[in-house]
Amino acid sequence: MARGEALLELRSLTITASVADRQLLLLRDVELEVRAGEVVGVVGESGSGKTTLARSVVGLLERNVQVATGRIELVGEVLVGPGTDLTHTARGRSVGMVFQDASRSLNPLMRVRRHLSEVLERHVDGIGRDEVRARSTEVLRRMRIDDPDRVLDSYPHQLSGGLRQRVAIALAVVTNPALVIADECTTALDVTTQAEVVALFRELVDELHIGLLFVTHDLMLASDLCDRIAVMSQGEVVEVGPTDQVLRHPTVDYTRRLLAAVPHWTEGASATHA
Amino acid sequence: MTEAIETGTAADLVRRPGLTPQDGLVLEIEDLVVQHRRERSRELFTAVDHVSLSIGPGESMGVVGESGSGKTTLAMAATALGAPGTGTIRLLGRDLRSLKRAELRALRPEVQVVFQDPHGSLDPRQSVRSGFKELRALQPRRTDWIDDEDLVGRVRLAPDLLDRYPHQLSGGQAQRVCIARALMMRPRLIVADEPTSGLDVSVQADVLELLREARRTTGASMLFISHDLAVVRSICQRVVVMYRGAVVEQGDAEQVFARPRHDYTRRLLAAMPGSRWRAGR
Ligand SMILES: Nc1ncnc2c1ncn2[C@@H]1O[C@H](COP(=O)(O)OP(=O)(O)OP(=O)(O)O)[C@@H](O)[C@H]1O
Ligand SMILES: Nc1ncnc2c1ncn2[C@@H]1O[C@H](COP(=O)(O)OP(=O)(O)OP(=O)(O)O)[C@@H](O)[C@H]1O
Ligand SMILES: [Mg+2]
Ligand SMILES: [Mg+2]
Repeated sequence: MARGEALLELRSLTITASVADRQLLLLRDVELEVRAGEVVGVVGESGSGKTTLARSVVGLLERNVQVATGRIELVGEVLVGPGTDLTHTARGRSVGMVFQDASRSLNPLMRVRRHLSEVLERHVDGIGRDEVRARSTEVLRRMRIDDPDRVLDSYPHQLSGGLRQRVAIALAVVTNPALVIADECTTALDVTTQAEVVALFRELVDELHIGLLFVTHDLMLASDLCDRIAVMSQGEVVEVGPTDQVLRHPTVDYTRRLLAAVPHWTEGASATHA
Repeated sequence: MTEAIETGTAADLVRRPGLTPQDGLVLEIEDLVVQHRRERSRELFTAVDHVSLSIGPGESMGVVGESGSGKTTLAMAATALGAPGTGTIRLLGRDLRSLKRAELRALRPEVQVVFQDPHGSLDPRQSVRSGFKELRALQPRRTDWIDDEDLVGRVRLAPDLLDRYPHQLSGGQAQRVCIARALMMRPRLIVADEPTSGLDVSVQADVLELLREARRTTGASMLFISHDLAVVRSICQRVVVMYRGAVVEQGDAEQVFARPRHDYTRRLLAAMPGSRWRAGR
């Protein structure tokens, strides 16, 4: 995939949910694109629609949630639009998804080894057992897991929260998909591990030119990783632009308020001087 | 095992005015070791390695440390929800190992746990409202409950979420429901495992204020696990730093963060995100 080529396009996407006898508007007229070789951050407060947006791309919305209008295109193919089946599954080779709750990415009855071998066998034609083994170990090492064999032999409940999250990321990237969607995928990681996972994402984007849609409520994290940032509020994208521009010169009040709420880390304890 | 660096000791703590003496400690852990058996190889793996700590009434203790360092295992053992391990754990003055099942059950409402995975800890078949109702039924004689609307309002949720099921909530909304459930019980100890990790800064600020208020008004103590150092610093008086199962540094939170003495603590501080943004601020 050439750098800069459009991978994902959302066009006036509107999504609703039915609860009891009411219709709720979860997303309204969302416009967004992700190009090859770029990281687009989706930030916004809790309940603003970030997860709904992310899930719509992989066709995994809850049963009471519907795409009302709009289009989703992935590498030029229409996933959602007039006349398409809404239960598409653009998963696997072209899109890797890391869910907000790792328990959604992982089957409690399967060891980590089997999770990885299943995706590899499904998406890499003719892959042999040795290569499955080698790639499984390698991807966990890249996630900074220093005892990959133990993790491969474990069931999800035998792993710490952060290990589960890294396994979920490994599953999403192991097949080298064109697009990766990561929903709050570092919330259970300590800062040192988080920094390394973020660096790994950057590497995948710069070297393999994958596109990354990075959903986070953490503006500071987004500022470290993202090329562009989309700010969501109440189901709408209220601001989108290059990271520096959005953070340094926010044009909407809502973004200013988000920035003002970032906790201060005052001098004397400044991280860089520690 | 390496000796932990101490900044101010537990003994100092109980001498502080306003706190009751030793036997009034809310949680006291001495020399706790918890091991997990590995799949396949069946070897034992030490997840918590000779940990000692204590929490006084109304005190909040932060636990920070890298992923897999044993924070959740420690919290689960301390509340008798996980592998028990060896060593002594006294919860509200009672030795956990000598407690009978019924005594333990009676202790439950006093110790509320907010789990690391909010969606996983809510019953998927129960609406938010009926979940609250079930909790109230645990204490039939209590009459001073606050009503549902007020309760969700305190964690900044709209009342129409009361009739939703967990899968119809966003991650941060589910997390706040868990916090509301813990607070409504007016526990003496709140164990919170990454309780604000899915919350954006503005909601997080409100939730932290709510926890502070709970401490002020009901005197609840807190064991607060978080990888977010700024959050720990803003809510905890004391902090322990865990590394590979052991406590490598503990003491006054302000001091530990201002003058970290262990190498790992320094690395944690150096890796805080947002340096690019903070630099230009
Ligand atoms: N299945 C559903 N039925 C009804 N409402 C829903 C459903 N799923 C989500 N919602 C609502 O839609 C809104 C957006 O939810 P979403 O999960 O997309 O938010 P989010 O931005 O990811 O929030 P968070 O940061 O807390 O994870 C929320 O108010 C949520 O309660
Ligand atoms: N039931 C179990 N069986 C085997 N090993 C386990 C079990 N539970 C936890 N472990 C292992 O014990 C270690 C400590 O896990 P724990 O969940 O306490 O870490 P943590 O500090 O909470 O990490 P995180 O920040 O990632 O949540 C990890 O290596 C984990 O994989
Ligand atoms: Mg979400
Ligand atoms: Mg944990």
